[in-house]
Amino acid sequence: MNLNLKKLSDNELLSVYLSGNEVAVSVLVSRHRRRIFDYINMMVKDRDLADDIFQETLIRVLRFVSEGRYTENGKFLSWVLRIAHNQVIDHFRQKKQQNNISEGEAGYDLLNNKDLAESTVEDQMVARQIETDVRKLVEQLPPEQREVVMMRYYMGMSFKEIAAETDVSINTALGRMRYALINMRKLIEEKQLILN
Amino acid sequence: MSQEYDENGLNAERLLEDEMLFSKEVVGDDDDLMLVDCLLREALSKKS
Repeated sequence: MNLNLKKLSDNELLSVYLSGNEVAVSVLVSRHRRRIFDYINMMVKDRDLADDIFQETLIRVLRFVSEGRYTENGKFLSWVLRIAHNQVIDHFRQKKQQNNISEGEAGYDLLNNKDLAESTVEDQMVARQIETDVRKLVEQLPPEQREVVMMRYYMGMSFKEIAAETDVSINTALGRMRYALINMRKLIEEKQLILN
Repeated sequence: MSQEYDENGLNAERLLEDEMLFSKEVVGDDDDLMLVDCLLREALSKKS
């Protein structure tokens, strides 16, 4: 039974799971566990914490699948990695909130805005305003940093592609991205964006 | 690379490799940069 399941594609395993065979999920998890865990661990640099986030990611993945919210046929691992990424972001937001509880009283702190991660209908107008403000800040970045930001976030290019397109080394592309993020943080702090 | 799940293909592998590079070389130990990254994803990823 398990041997046959191992030969199935991710989407076939998900179908088997949804038809009531929970073993299919074990096969799916075991297939991708190392990649997902390594990805989380690389970001949080703490194996115990990475394990916790990995478990939370799995719970969320199964819930979304059960609710029929997985629609990206053929891109299961990419989809799971994005969920893992969001879980890690939530962790950092919570950690930052714990360190800066009083700062939020002054207004709407972009870097502490946990609601961004779990946006509800009532948050949508605020979220749109944040998007507008962030785009304005991007326009203030030096050209070579703005370029790499737009290529990565708007055009969805990898760093290898960005390096090739801009005719620089991959390390230069990565360095520009790092400075772009540092400058963005500085701009957010300088502008003290208060949106409500 | 495993041949068992071709459906994920190179895209997933590339995404993983790229995110690893990003995490290691761009974010490093500066957690705040993860949050800035998230803001940028949310603000710029919609091709509206």
